[in-house]
Amino acid sequence: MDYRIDDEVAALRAALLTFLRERMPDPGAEPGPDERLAAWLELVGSEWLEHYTTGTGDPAERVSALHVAEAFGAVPVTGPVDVVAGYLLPLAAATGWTAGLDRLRDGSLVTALVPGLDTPGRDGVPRRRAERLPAVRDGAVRVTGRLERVPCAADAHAVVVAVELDGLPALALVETERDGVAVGAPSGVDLRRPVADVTFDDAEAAAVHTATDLVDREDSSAAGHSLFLDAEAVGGGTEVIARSVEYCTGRVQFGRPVGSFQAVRHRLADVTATVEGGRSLAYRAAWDLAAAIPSAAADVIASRLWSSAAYLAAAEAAVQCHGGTGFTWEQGVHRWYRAAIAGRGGADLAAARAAVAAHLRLLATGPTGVRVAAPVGAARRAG
Amino acid sequence: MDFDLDQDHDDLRKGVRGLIARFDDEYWSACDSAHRFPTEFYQALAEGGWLGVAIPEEYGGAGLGITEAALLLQEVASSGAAMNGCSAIHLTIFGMNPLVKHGSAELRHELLPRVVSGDLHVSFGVTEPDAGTDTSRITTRARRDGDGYVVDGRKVWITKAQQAEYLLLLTRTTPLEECAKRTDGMTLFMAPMDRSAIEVREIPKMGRNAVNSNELFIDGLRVPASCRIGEEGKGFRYLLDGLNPERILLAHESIGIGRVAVDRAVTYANQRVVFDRPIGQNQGIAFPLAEATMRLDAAELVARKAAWLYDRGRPCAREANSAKYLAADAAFFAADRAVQTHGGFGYAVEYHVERYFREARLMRIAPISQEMVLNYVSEHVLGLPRSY
Ligand SMILES: Cc1cc2nc3c(=O)[nH]c(=O)nc-3n(C[C@H](O)[C@H](O)[C@H](O)COP(=O)(O)OP(=O)(O)OC[C@H]3O[C@@H](n4cnc5c(N)ncnc54)[C@H](O)[C@@H]3O)c2cc1C
Repeated sequence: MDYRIDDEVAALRAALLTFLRERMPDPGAEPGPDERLAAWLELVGSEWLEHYTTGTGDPAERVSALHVAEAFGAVPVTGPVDVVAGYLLPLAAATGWTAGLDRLRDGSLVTALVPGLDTPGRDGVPRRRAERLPAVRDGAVRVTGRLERVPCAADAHAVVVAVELDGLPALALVETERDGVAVGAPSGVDLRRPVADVTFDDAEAAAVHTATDLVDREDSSAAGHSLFLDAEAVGGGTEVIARSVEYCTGRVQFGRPVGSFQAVRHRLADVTATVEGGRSLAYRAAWDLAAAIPSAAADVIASRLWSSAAYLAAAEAAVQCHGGTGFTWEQGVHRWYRAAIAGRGGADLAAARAAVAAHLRLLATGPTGVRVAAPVGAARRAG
Repeated sequence: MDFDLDQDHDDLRKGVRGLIARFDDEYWSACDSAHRFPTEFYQALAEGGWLGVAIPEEYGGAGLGITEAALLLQEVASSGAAMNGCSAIHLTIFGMNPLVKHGSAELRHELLPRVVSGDLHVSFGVTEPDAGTDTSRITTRARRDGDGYVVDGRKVWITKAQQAEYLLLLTRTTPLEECAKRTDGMTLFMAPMDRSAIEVREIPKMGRNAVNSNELFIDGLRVPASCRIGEEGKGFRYLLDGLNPERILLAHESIGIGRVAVDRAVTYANQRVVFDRPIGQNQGIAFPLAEATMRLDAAELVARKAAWLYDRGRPCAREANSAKYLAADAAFFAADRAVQTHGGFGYAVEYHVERYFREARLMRIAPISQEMVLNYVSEHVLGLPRSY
């Protein structure tokens, strides 16, 4: 892997940061539903959510897309940014779902559950599989079942649901206002993306999509989504560290900046190293995924484990180093702290560990006793 | 050594538990989300005679020690009330210590019986925008004026100021530059919360929202000299007397939060079935809860020892500081593991562990940060050079 963030990519990220800071409401101010939806409309219209989809093929492009996506971690934004930018748009693009793309682009708030990790099979390769709800044809296509903890469901106009239709996997777009759709009360620590359960009772789908390689595309798009979350984590981690450094440089106790005390400065240095490690690992995993390196799927999981832990450690350190101020609503470190807590939960620790364990087992033996997989994070020498 | 059950302590714990059983998790969750002071709870404790547990009998209190006060607070925390419950009563239970020890007879007789009956709320006003950990930097100024003082300045983070009728207020009577020692020149008052001279603004914050935290803008507050506690210029010393017991109480409060978090997590881990077995059957779930319990046990022993030493009038700074540090860490670890055990539900409000988590986080910052405890132990226990 030979890659450098060039000026153009750096400028793109800076432009996105400016846009988000200037145009998006602060989730800490708890904007009402109208304000949230207006902001979402503007965000969709700005086409920044689409940027991540541009980099799905070429490894270098993929890494630069990740770099730009860090802005979404640095500036907390309400709405299912990760679901749409990290999963739905790439999935719709990869499977040629024009109607889905149109709907995602018309400013409506569309959300979904991103497939989680499946129990590792004999080949030890981790896969992400959606839980599919049953759908039947009855005049229209109708969906029945329940999705738990769907991000931003309470605000959503529509939900993209993985279904099984005529014995085959498909995607159904269901408007939340339809009869038979019930959205529960929003909850969760993350102010950006409160989750809610959604129940479908013979609910009519507005659009249905299928593709022969749908399940594989869901898998690879979900892996891309995992990297998007990593980008948010390193972006958010970097931001809280920068804020803490600024605060601890200005805040004077005992006649000197609190940042001059080793308890404070070393802690911030430690988490900086951890977050930087997360950034490198995410870039590497993104590169390998785009280059179709066999160990990439396991690397993506390792990257999620690392960067979610790094983000939490950074946010923890930030709260502590801000002293009592870190506990205030206004100062706002809690916005990132909440995102970090939710991200750690979303890392699906048990499944991720099981997948990494299965990968390690295979490294040792392989299904045929032969070493088959490259180690997690192993560098593939070119040529 | 004697680790036998003390019957009086056991009765005390059972008594408190019985009395506050009706204030369940739902009650605390509702107070927290509505930012509502738990008045019913406060009154129930007052009526049960618990608020005066550590106030001398001559003022209507029970005259018991820090150990009993600590057990009471731990019981409150572990009922699920956590810091919303403890902070509501913390100052009433032991914050009056400077008044009891150094206040004038008139002031004591006027105020302490009202504290015991639950009719008088008092806040503690030390922290300022530029003086957090470093108390000597306070600039709130009290100037002599006839038979009283006039106070101007700003305080932050003042707990319960919206209910308070009096403020245990630390001021400077001599500017720092004119003092031989940084901790000289400060004077403590039991100042009336005269709203015409004190503007109170609530600080929105991450947790413990049933009990308000406030910024105070003090402008020309008149305080009669009779409200001064002890001598002029010695205020900081009077507060120092209260630091060890405060740490002992906070340690017990933290342990209470940790215990309730582990309890809720264990119940959930026994009930929740995934892959056809209770999740608690996984070592990945069980071991962290076992570890949390051991950490709490260890912290509890140190905390009890500190209380025991204090009640016997022996030095206890090492133990009180260690207890605060260990307990705050153990509580946070326990609350964090409780959230993790609940999986996605861990951050749903309805399971309450997220509330414990937010409140446990506070214990590592206020009223004294973990770092300052480490400074204390480095310098005063180990004899290393002062680092700041
Ligand atoms: C909910 C809440 C309620 C409170 N209630 C009250 C109240 O009722 N009355 C009252 O008077 N105060 C109250 N406080 C204030 C509390 O006591 C202070 O927040 C606390 O003392 C820390 O001070 P600070 O926030 O100014 O942090 P700072 O002093 O600014 O410290 C910032 C960071 O630097 C670190 N640091 C500072 N100095 C050193 C050093 N020498 N070595 C190593 N590290 C160092 C600290 O540990 C911390 O991590 C409350 C605070 C909170 C959050």
